[in-house]
Amino acid sequence: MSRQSPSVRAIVPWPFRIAAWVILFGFTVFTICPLVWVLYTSFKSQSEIMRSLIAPPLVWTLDNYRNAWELGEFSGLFFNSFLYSTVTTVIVILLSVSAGFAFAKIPSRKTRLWYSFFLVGLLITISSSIVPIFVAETWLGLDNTRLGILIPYVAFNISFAVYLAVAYIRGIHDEIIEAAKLDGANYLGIYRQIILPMARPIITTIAIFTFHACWIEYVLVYMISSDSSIRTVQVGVSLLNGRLAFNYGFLFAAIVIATLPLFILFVFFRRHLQAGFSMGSMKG
Amino acid sequence: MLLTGPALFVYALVIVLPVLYSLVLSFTEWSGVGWPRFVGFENYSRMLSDPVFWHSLRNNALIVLVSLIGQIPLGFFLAYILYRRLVRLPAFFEAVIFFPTLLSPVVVGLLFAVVFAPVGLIADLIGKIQGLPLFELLIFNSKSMAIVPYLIVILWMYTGIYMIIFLANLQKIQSETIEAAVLDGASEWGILIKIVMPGQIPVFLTTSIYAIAGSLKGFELLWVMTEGGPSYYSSVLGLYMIESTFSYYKYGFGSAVAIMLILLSVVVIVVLTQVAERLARET
Amino acid sequence: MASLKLRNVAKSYGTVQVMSGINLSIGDGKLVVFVGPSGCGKSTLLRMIAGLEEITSGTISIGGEVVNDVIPSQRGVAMVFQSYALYPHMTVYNNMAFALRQAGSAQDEIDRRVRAAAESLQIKDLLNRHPRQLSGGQRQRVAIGRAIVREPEVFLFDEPLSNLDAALRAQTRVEIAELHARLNTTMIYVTHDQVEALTLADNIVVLNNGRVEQVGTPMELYHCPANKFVAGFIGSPQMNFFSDEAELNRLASVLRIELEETSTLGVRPEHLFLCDAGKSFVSGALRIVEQFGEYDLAYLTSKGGVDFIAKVPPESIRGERGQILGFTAVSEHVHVFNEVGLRAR
Ligand SMILES: Nc1ncnc2c1ncn2[C@@H]1O[C@H](COP(=O)(O)OP(=O)(O)OP(=O)(O)O)[C@@H](O)[C@H]1O
Ligand SMILES: [Mg+2]
Repeated sequence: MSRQSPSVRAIVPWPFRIAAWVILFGFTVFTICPLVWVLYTSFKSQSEIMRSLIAPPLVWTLDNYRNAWELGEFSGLFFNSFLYSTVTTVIVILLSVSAGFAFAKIPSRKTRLWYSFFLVGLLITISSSIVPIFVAETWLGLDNTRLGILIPYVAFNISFAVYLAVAYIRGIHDEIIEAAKLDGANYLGIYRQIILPMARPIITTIAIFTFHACWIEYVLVYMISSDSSIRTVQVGVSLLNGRLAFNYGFLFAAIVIATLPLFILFVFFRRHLQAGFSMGSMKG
Repeated sequence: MLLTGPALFVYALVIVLPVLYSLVLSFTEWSGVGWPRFVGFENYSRMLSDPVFWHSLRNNALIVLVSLIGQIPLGFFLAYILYRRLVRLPAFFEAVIFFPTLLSPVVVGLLFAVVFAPVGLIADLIGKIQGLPLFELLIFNSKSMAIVPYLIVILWMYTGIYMIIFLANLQKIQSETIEAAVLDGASEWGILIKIVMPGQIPVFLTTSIYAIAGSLKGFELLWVMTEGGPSYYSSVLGLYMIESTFSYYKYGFGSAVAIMLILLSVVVIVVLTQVAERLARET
Repeated sequence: MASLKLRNVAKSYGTVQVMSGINLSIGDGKLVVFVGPSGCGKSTLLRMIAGLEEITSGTISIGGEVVNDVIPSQRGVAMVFQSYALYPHMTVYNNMAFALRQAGSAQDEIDRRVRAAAESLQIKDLLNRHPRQLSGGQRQRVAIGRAIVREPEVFLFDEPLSNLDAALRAQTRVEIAELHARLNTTMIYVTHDQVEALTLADNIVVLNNGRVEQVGTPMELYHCPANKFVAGFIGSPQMNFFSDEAELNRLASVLRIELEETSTLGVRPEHLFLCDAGKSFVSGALRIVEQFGEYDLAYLTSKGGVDFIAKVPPESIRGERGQILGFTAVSEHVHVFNEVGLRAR
């Protein structure tokens, strides 16, 4: 993604300059404060927290983290979260890039119809259709199973992934595909040897975006998993809250633990996430 | 068909079938066991005469309002400041403001539940400032104000999305356009109002649609933060749907709310997209 | 190597007919150029031969065999695209080897052919680079190399030079001519640049509006254009046309030929030469002179209001703007077209 901002300076009237500074700095401070507060409180002992919620810790301790990890049974939760997110991501990529190729480059009246059918899925999320999903899953006996989590994860992420893939693959020059046809590649060959390697940037975006969406998903797992062994980090953290009212240090340590993978995504793949989010709004 | 088939199959199985299924259920009364009993439009008429439904809808409307007059203009202005590099280290500010959008709704809900708790962070702060160590924050006791903390949270969390969207669109502007305006003597204010803003009108429209759709779809954060409470004061339509279905096992009624919700989002978005397209064509 | 025959080929997109009644016969080893204005169907015709575009009716045969239902890669054709269409994620070597790998050739055979082609095009040192690391001219060669490696029966070029700058274009044009001389393979070359057409072609096919206007050697087209369209299209600057009635009568008497009222006369700028205004068969007021060093172009407007151009020896006109100059031409250089634009003489 090319990023350019014209660097020419214009005259900046002083009210404008002040407004710009106040708003940007003000909003940045507003953004950072709760995050910093969570972070240092998670290193604070319960007795210090009782004395003052806002004061930074006098003694920094890792006890909260130790307790949270063990009491929260985070190793199992992490395993599940990683399992669902990774499996979903792999399947979504396989399905969406091949469908994206067909929609973008094998035009016919039928594919166009199917594509718009797909786009309707952009308007619906897991949370907004949780009731039908729940009812259907209990009816099919899929509740309380890993499959019952994975199938909706794939289905609800596929629309956007297909949308991203189509938008990207449309940008691949038709002549390249024709050259491959002349060179003797069939559709499967073109897909594997031309489209897949060329679509690598969008595949990364789809992967990161899907992984992130699965990682933060809450409602579905919460609703269908009465069995704690299939729960995810999000559900685990939310249930900690009820068990340990007012032990904020402990809760915040759990929050930090649950957020760490997202922070890693943020550090390494911020551009891909931003690209996904900004395209997400344009799908309309 | 070989290429699109698998994706289509999963999609139809998981999205289309359940929606149809709950459309059927919405005309029945069913508690999860035995056979559903057909009741016609009774669920729908009961929903429309329920004050909780209307209060939830009102809260949804307030959320949209915060997006329209808060997040979107703010996101645009922040994006403009960064786009024009009016400060040092624009990449730093961009990253910081974007970060909260990535957080999980559960985590943010838990965090802000503590911030706005009766003896939470805000209460602590106000108590310290006013010298009242036992100060309690009682904003949730007011039926009309209970949604306000959530409005602050979404402003905190999602303004970054709008900033990112505007930034991506601003960066599509030919830099020669800005350079020409500078040579013509336009001030930064002039560039913003006369050169940049008009071109962003379609983006304002699409982000507005995005905000409306988002307000109808998401409720996890609120669920974790307030559970719609106290009572139903901070409820939204999504929570109303969950509560109606799962608190009393009224699947028929819950399905009616779900269908209403899906219908509302699809209709609102389709209509607004049409309007936006017409407007965009005229301008 | 193979000859190529098109019989009554037509193409429609939905209800819109873009090509009709195309009959062509291209001899073995010939270099044939398709020319015509933008949108006339050159690319469409080429792509139909390649099999990238289905034909609506008619037959195409390559080497005596009808190939209507043969898939593109089996037709024995290789194509050089206008955008080059190199695979961006593959090295030059893999780009050139791709087709052979698809066909399942042996590894040492692939290597030998790729290296031979790279050698002949002087891109040996580029084999390990990716397309984005190449200049426009180098990409062009790789695209040609990719076609050569396949040792096709027919080469197809779709405006291969249009993305190059003027100097490189001239150089590559010569190289393509040499390539043809060396390989002696049938080639079809699409361009809208008539200099390329005139210099490269054994035969030129002039297309207009989805129809063949004329087929012939460059000199046939230049000296005996079959109709007004071809006459105007081939040659630069364009042929001058005169159809004003008063003018025609005068011209007819000077040239001593029979003319209908509806006829049009055509004379190329290079066939007009200066003479006394009294003896001239066409005269006009000078508007401007462009100097090219080797010759000058004079832009004039006749009494009847027709703009025309004359190509004259350098600095032979020293006149003022508005000065009246007379021109004449030998009669075999004057083309006469009838009312529907067909050659009448
Ligand atoms: N997919 C299509 N659907 C409908 N019409 C088409 C399609 N492709 C081409 N055409 C039409 O067919 C005609 C011939 O197009 P073609 O690309 O062959 O022109 P061309 O001679 O190669 O022009 P250029 O010199 O600009 O490349 C044009 O009028 C074009 O509009
Ligand atoms: Mg063309």
